[in-house]
Amino acid sequence: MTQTKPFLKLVTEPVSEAGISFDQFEAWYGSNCILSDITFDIPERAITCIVGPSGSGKSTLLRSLNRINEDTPKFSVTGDIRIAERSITKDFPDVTELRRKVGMVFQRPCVFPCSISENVLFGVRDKSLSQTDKRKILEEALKAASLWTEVSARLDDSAMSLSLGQQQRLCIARTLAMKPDVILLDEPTASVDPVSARAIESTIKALSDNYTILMVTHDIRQTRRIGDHVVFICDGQLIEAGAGEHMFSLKALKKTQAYLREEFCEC
Amino acid sequence: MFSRHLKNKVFASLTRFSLFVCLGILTFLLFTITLQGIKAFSLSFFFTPSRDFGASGGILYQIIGSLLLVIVAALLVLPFAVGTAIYRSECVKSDRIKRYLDLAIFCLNSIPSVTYGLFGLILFVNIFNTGISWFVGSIILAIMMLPTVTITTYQAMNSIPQHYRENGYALGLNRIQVIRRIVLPQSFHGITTGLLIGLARAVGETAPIMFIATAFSGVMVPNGLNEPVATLPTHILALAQQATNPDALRNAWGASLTLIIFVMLFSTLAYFARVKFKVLSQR
Repeated sequence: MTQTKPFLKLVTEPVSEAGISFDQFEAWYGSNCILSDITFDIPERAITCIVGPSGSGKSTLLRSLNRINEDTPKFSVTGDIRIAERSITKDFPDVTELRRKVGMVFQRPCVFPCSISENVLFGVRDKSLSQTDKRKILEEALKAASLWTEVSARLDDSAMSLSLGQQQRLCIARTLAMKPDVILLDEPTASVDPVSARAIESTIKALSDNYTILMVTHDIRQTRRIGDHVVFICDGQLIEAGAGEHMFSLKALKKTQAYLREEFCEC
Repeated sequence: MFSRHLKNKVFASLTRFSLFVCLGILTFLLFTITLQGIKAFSLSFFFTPSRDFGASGGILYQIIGSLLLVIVAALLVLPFAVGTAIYRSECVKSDRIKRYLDLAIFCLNSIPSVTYGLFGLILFVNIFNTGISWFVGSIILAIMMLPTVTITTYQAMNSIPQHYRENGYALGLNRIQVIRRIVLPQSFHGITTGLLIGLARAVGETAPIMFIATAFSGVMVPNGLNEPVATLPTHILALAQQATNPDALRNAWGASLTLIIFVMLFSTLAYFARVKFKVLSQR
């Protein structure tokens, strides 16, 4: 039997156990507390939707997971976040290693001014990879992002020529090519039309069997459709976190019920 | 209603008048220099050395000297300008330090060119005892070009949306990789434009190189770093001092037109480089 290298593992295969725990996590911008005493667990290989009003700290929470806020002046954190029992600060002295484990797709599709294939392989930096290996990673990532059939005939075309929805799925493919354990999605469907949003949703749903996915969204109906777990944050405080069925039921806290029914926010 | 229309018309007329004044001055200058300078133009004017203190012969060595000075200056300025722009754009986080840095660069840009010449004379010729050297002239021109190239490069880097960098970092790239793979390719048009605008400015400068890099006559192609060169601006200056000699005056106009052609060539190249490389970086 041929032994395959780790990077050749199919991107659709389970990668690793990657449950996430927040332990008294706080985020500060100068003397402003953005997130206060956040403690909860996120299950692995499921979609966790983070919801809450604008300015409540959802994106800060998400961006704390790959420490992308680290370079922001005056930004500081206390407490800890653990991914698969590894602290993101103490066990990842090299932040680039963490960011390769925790991929991120932003709200606005951002493709680099190069070809579709170069975009997908942008973060793949293993110089020992042959062209065949790279081609395999490219194909698998595009298939996993449900984009292969649409672009397979024009991989050398500029990524700028794709529609916004396709560009967003290309960003997902680019993240998948890195073989992350966790995927962070910051309002991934906010900048695209409803049809593209549905295509992206289907892609995310398909990926959830193999990846731990955290998604910030303002779309409550989308949360109901694809959220296995829901985290409700308001004004920097964790109000409630739990399985989707619980959060959308009458058993949830009154504040949660009111927000998820799109009625009002009590906090 | 009538008053608003009248105000709009007056405002539009004033702005149009300003445009006509600017274009009028440019057209008048170009027309006069072309009309006078074209009389000196011939193949031998460009390909023969000057004689009789410039009153006869051509401007071959002046063209070679000017190009040598500015091309070496461009090569010298490039790493420092790009390095400063990268530091300003990618490494400095404090807004206050950025403001101080900007102030320093703008101050450097506003120093009179003759001061650069004097600085070069004192530092290189007097203290380091280099003598009159074209290479020292290139160094001084490079210092003069530094703010122009730095500011243009920095502005190009600053215009790259922040989310490009964030996407790079999110893919596990470190700062050097983000600069090399995202920032530099997308600001290439700014670097090229800044360099060409700097060249256009430097090629016409007389004061900074007058004391340290050139001689007014009897200069050929330099054989070493510590030799002077002949340049177009100093040649024009020397010829203008013999204004009573019609041959010298004709050659002065010819050399001026040649200099204007070089400046316009660099400026046009800068414009096309900006358009072309910007389009390429957005593909």
